[in-house]
Amino acid sequence: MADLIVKVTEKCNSNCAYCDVVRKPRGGETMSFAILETLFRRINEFLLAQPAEEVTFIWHGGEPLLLGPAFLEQAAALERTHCPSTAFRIKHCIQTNLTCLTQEHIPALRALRITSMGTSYDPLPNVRGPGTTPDSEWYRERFFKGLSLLKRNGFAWGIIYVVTRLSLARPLDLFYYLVNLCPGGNFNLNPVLIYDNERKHLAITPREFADFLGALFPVWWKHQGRYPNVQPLRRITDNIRDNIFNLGCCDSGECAYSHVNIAPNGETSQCGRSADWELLPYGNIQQRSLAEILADSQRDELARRNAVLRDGECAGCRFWELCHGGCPLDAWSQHKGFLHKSEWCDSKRMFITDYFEPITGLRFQHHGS
Amino acid sequence: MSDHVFVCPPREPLLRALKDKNVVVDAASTKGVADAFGLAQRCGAAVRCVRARFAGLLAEIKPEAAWEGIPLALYVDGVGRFRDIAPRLPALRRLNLRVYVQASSANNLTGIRILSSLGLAAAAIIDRSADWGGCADLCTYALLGTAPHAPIDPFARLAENYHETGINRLTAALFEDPSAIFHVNENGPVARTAGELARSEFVAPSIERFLAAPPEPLDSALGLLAQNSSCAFCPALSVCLGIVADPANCPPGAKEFFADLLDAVEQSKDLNRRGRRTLWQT
Repeated sequence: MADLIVKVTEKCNSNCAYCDVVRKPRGGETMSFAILETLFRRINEFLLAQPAEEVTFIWHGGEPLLLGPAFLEQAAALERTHCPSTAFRIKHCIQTNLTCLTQEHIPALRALRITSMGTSYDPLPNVRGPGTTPDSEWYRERFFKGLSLLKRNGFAWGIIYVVTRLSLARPLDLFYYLVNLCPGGNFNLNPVLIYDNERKHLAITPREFADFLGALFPVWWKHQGRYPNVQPLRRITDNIRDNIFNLGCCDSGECAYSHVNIAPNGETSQCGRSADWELLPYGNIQQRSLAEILADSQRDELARRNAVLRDGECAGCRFWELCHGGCPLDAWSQHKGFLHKSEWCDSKRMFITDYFEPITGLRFQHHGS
Repeated sequence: MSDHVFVCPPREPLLRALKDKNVVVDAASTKGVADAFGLAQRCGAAVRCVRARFAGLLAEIKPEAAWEGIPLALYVDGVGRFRDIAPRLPALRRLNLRVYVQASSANNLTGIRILSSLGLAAAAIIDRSADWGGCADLCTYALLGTAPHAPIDPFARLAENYHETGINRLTAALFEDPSAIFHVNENGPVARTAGELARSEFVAPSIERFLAAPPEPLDSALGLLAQNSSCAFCPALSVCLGIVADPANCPPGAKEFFADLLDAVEQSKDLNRRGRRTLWQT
């Protein structure tokens, strides 16, 4: 499975306090139809050569819905033209803030077989929204209009909630807000990742993120039937209690040859963050095939990272199978190199040892993979 | 047939417009129960029940033979003394009856429990005035009590239709569900709730217009979330859905009641799943 993070535009109608994309010095580009066409041709070539493979096309940005229904319809038309026999192996997903979703987008999204949308929200003031001090009222009004439209049209959806310093005072309030917003708890709690000094007031430490999860965990554990899909609590429970190892890209240790970020100008990189930091450039989609990009030799270092960490910094860690040293980009941000573990590993370890194991009475057993 | 239910006064033109539709006939007083039921049937409405109010205690009511066979939602001010009800029990038991009592006093809640233990279905009308601690005890009895008793709504209905990962509207058993149960004014306009009916806040000017273009289902939870009200951060939102109104001034004990209610529902379902305990026998 190849995951393509396609940044169709870097434009956004919001200026979320923790977002890096809108702060890029040369932001604001939008993908041309010529590049989009090339991309579909590249995907088709790749899938024809790899009959067992599938591609996930993640519409990302910026805010992809800013491009309007016509852009999406054109994309669907390009796919029909260039991927006539392979389109069924392309799965389209979208990450959107929903604030500019209109009824006119719906047929275009359906033409791309999108049935589910990923979004983000924060009920706390001044985190998400346009303006220097994000106008969260503006965002809230439009987000709920979009959400209502999405529900009315029968789309599934999930939320990413980014835990910032502002969240730390109200973990349970926020938990209940999110389970009310997404019945069943279809949301993901991620720590904010801040790399500059300008926004240090939002940054949290791995200890603080562990404690935030720890404050929710007793409630979630007791009522996990009510809120089954709260991440990362569900995943950690599946890992430890049920030995189901379905790890996300940060923890799987398997991202090396599977992810590609495609910028509006066709330049490729490992993922969104590597592109933002101008790391791991794999060339332009106009010059290189998808197969070449996915096999780029720079990826070998990421693949080698598993062995290096297992025998080095992570040797003897009983949680190795649960995090594999964490995200290599997180490691790079701290050490300026990929062959180190991420500081967010500590967050997972602290959560498990300080909260999960004492509360559940379960202990993670190393399986020796 | 649509899934909508219409609470409608016993007026022939309205009931004719609701031919084949689910109808709760609002007879207002007990005097008109049989006539209201007969009229609705003649008009071809699918009668769910007749709703009637009795200004007094259940112990004071004289059940009529004509009520037999009529699904009856009987609203009373209270239950009264057991010794006064006892003589009427055989007649009451012959009815297809559920007795509705305000959950606002310990007396009423005790009365509901007694009715249930006598095999009469009962319902606690839970609103902002509820005795929340008493309601919590009653829901525990209703859902977890092991002595045989008749169902007590809204708890029994909630447990029966409980959707663990979704929205559960407690008041649906009390004829309040703004997405499914609509209230018809005697002149024809349609409202989402009894409160909106009283305030003349209508979603359609007539039954015909309603049926031609039914309103969008109302997502009450989303509305409260969109307002960022304190209800949005409440663990009970999925079951309360703002029935205590004025989120900024949630009555003390309400939140705890809803938490107990959800726990009791889940415990009851779990017990049913595992099978109730049976005592040894020789």
